[in-house]
Amino acid sequence: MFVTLQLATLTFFLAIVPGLLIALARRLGPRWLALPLGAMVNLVRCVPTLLTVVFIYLALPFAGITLSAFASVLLGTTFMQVVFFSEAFRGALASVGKGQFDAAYACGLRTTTVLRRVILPQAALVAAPAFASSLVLLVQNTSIASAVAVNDMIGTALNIQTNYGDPAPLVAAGIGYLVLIVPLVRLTRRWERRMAMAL
Amino acid sequence: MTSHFFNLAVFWRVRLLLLQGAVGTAKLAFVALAIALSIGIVVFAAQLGPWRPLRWAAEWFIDLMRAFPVLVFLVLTYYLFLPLLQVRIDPFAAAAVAFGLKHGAYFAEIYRSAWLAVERGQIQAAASLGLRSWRIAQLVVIPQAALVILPPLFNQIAFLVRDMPFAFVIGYFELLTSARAAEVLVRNSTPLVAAILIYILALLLLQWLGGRIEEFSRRRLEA
Amino acid sequence: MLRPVLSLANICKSFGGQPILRGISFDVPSGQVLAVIGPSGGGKSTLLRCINLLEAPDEGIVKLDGETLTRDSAARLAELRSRIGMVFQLFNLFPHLTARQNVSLALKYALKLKGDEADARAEQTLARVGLAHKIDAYPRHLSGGQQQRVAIARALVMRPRLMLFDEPTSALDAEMVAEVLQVMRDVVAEGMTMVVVSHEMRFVRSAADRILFIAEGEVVEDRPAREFLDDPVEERSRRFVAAIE
Repeated sequence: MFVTLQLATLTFFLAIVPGLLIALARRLGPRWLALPLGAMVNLVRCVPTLLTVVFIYLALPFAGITLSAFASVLLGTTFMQVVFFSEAFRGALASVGKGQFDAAYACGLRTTTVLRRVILPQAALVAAPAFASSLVLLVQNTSIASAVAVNDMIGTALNIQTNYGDPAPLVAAGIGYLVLIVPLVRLTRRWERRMAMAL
Repeated sequence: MTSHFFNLAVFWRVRLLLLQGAVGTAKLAFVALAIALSIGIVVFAAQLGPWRPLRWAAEWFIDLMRAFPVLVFLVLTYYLFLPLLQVRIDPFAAAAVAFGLKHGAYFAEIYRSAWLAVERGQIQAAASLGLRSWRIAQLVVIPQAALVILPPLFNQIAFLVRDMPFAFVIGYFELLTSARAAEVLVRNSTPLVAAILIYILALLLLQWLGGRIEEFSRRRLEA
Repeated sequence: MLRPVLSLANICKSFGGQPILRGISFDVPSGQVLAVIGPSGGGKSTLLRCINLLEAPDEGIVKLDGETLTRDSAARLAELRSRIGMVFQLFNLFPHLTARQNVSLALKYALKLKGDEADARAEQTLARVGLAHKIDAYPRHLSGGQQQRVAIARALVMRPRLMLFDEPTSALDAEMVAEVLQVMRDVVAEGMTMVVVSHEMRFVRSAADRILFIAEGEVVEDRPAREFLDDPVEERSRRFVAAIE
């Protein structure tokens, strides 16, 4: 459980800023930056997370980059999560009309202020449901750690199951994940309902 | 470096193995998709139905399925649920059922949002013109819902395909499994790279296909 | 000869190969109300947006009080923009802020006023446009006319040298057009330098000092208001005026 939480929180904090930056760059940045970023994001969305992690853990050592199992999972999930976050933010940014940018700049505000006081507060409201689902995915992805023999919840449980044939830890692990994730799912639902009503 | 990651000779040697894996993945994907689409309809129907306990059960099912990590659910199904139900323990079946159930929940949500997307006013207008309800469904609701449903549908199918490598964990012979086996055989990382590229290709193709179908339907609708 | 508040020289702008503005030049002296009229698609909105560089002209120079507006320095541009007020057709109020917050935002972050002072000035300006009772209302609770008045207050509170109006009443129902036009007339009466793009010919007739008739990206006529309206020179202008009035 502890490892799972570690992975989840680390991935979250590592991925959120790049995710936001990529979304901003794609919306506001020059074309030579926005287009390649867009293509990259699209490509990464086509790669199964498990494959990324396995690749980092097992194949990269041959290129001279050896990472521990934990680090591999962290890198893999963070990488994918950056992409998911950036998509959530991008959708939210796009929902803020151009007129808002116009009015804010016309008042003589600088870009940092425009983003901080006008655009992001509005985008945050819209981003909430997509963000919450990203969070759900994030915690779920931590379970991938078990595939590379890291002792997260499901990994440990699997271990015990295969070695001792005792399925009880599996159930415990299942419940553990539910406890973590169901609240997030409920939250997502509630936010989605609110968004639908506000529109 | 290239010889280790992008070695064409190695790729050629293991091509049959990888092909077997790819076929395995495709089989699983199609079956799981069929199950998921069907379960989606069942759950969706339950959500629309007049019985409150059924609606409630459907909502809980969806939340549960959305909450479980794929890997965890897969493992639980294989090691726990199927044995409990005394069903034959076969990785293919376990994977198909697990993926089918999980994605089925997502499909149910997609069906629901497409259903809600059609404006109520249109249905009222059609009814006041004297059309019977099944006609209304046929001529008004389904064409529009079908269009709205396409992007999230294809998105979800992409997610399903992305989940396929997890079957590796319970020992089903799909692309990742075959790639790993090949790697051990040739002591080279090319098979894994190849597997990744194949998945990317498949998913890009799916994206493209989704786009074309959407275009096509849009044209039909506007005609 | 006093320096003009606004000076445009040879402004050209194309979108995707299509020329929208073809070499527009004019000066606006202090206190003048310039109305820009013409058929739709003629480039009027684009011209207005080029003045405060919301659109960057492909060629040409824009000067405010003799200082050139460029995108080279973000700080410089922001400073110059804070001296220009703009009112949009679709209001563009910030929906997550109250009326008072909408009006005081730029005071706090562009003019760096202290919170209390900014709020006080915002309240004063809102009172001037007749919305003292709606200070803490959110835009979604205000009518179109009220929203546009808040938008005007938001621009006015900065005590700008120049105000730009981009079809301020085009998105309003008939009953609300009058209240907004009244506020605009008050602004005119205070001697503000204004450039107004509008289809409201009664307002133009009564409030504008000078008219720029723009069609197909060019200045067709540039005359004092009375003269133009009573006796347009060009054929195009005659047809336009006849159709509108």
